[in-house]
Amino acid sequence: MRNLILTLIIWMICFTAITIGVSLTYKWYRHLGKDIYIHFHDVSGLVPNQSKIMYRGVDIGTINEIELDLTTGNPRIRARIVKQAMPLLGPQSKFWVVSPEVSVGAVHNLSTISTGDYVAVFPIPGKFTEEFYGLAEAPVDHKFSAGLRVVLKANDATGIEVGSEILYHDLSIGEVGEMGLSDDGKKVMITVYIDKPYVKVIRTNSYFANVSGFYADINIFTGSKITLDSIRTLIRGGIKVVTPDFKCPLAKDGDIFKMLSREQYNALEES
Amino acid sequence: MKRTLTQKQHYLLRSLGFTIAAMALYVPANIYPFMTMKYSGQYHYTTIWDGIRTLYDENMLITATIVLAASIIIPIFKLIALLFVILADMFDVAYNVRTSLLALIEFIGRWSMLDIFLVAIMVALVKFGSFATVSADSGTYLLGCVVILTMLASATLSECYEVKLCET
Repeated sequence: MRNLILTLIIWMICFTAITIGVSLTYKWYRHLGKDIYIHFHDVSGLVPNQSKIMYRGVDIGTINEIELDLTTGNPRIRARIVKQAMPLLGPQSKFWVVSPEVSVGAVHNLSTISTGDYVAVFPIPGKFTEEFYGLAEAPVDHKFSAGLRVVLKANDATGIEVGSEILYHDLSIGEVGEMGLSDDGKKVMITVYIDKPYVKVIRTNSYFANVSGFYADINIFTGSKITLDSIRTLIRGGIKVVTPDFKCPLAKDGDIFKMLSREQYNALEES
Repeated sequence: MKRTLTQKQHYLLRSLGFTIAAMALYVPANIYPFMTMKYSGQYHYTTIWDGIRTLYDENMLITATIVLAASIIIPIFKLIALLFVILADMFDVAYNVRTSLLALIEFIGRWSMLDIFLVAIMVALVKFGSFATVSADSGTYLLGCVVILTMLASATLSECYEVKLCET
């Protein structure tokens, strides 16, 4: 009798072990993701088996291999994506490498100094795709996807660059996204993104002025005058926005504004 | 009708139970990470296979072979050999083949604890506070269970041979 009980106990241990083993294997299988390939122009800073693919700080995959795609001569990475993140990665998803960046205006991604560079993703849900082409730098519009996008039309873009700040009462409320020429090639079109909390500042009667660099008005009779907004606008450029009153309706996404030059702006301020 | 199991059948069944339990845990022991390294704020999970590949990539061929033998080949061999010795009773396998196989199982059994020792040493050595730590992960505990279960299986089996029940 005692013999039988001992054998039964051992077989109960056996069945428990089978249950644990099968459930753990099943759990592992359910979380098993798939490999994706991303082509980049430059992958400096990424380390195989260590660098992650992150979405808003959540680890959704690990880079397994970095190799040179011999047909294009560009690097290509192979990464294992966790299963839950797979439906997020449609064919339009954007990938870019995040590395520390120190500029005059700000310090970005300081955490990557200790954790190493990683690949960030802006997922656009869709059918799971295996092959992606990474961006050279972070897309600007994803940061402001909830904000406002307006286009400024100017004669020239002196001192303005992608990332230049939009200043309202000297407070940064957005930044320059893309720059390009108008269809007829005569004007410069600057797309700016306004952060969500400040969207209501931009009205149809707002006007924008380029305050990059400094402005010197040297006149021996009336006295000289030098205008300089801040060191930041001196180096990185800046666009000032003025809203005379808040009676006019809110600006809509994609509205086109005229950007004044420094002289026009100063003249307007004095009048 | 009442059927009772003989003492020998009890021994064989117990050994078979331990062996099947070890086999069931062997699969997750290999696919789950056995070591978690945390350095500079990031977690790195290492499975046994990853560890062997890293050693191989670092040109440590001998170490890689030892770890491969100790943690993958020997447990598989041990499990198959145990199953063979248990089932050999049904077929006409010569007695001395079975006993020598059992002796071999007992001899190589001690080597399968190697990577448990490895993790134990790593955990003890790499403690740099928040900068870098190594800790044992589920794979180690599973592998430990596999080793204990196979030891129990072979102990049960050799007891059966020692009390001369399995001689024929």
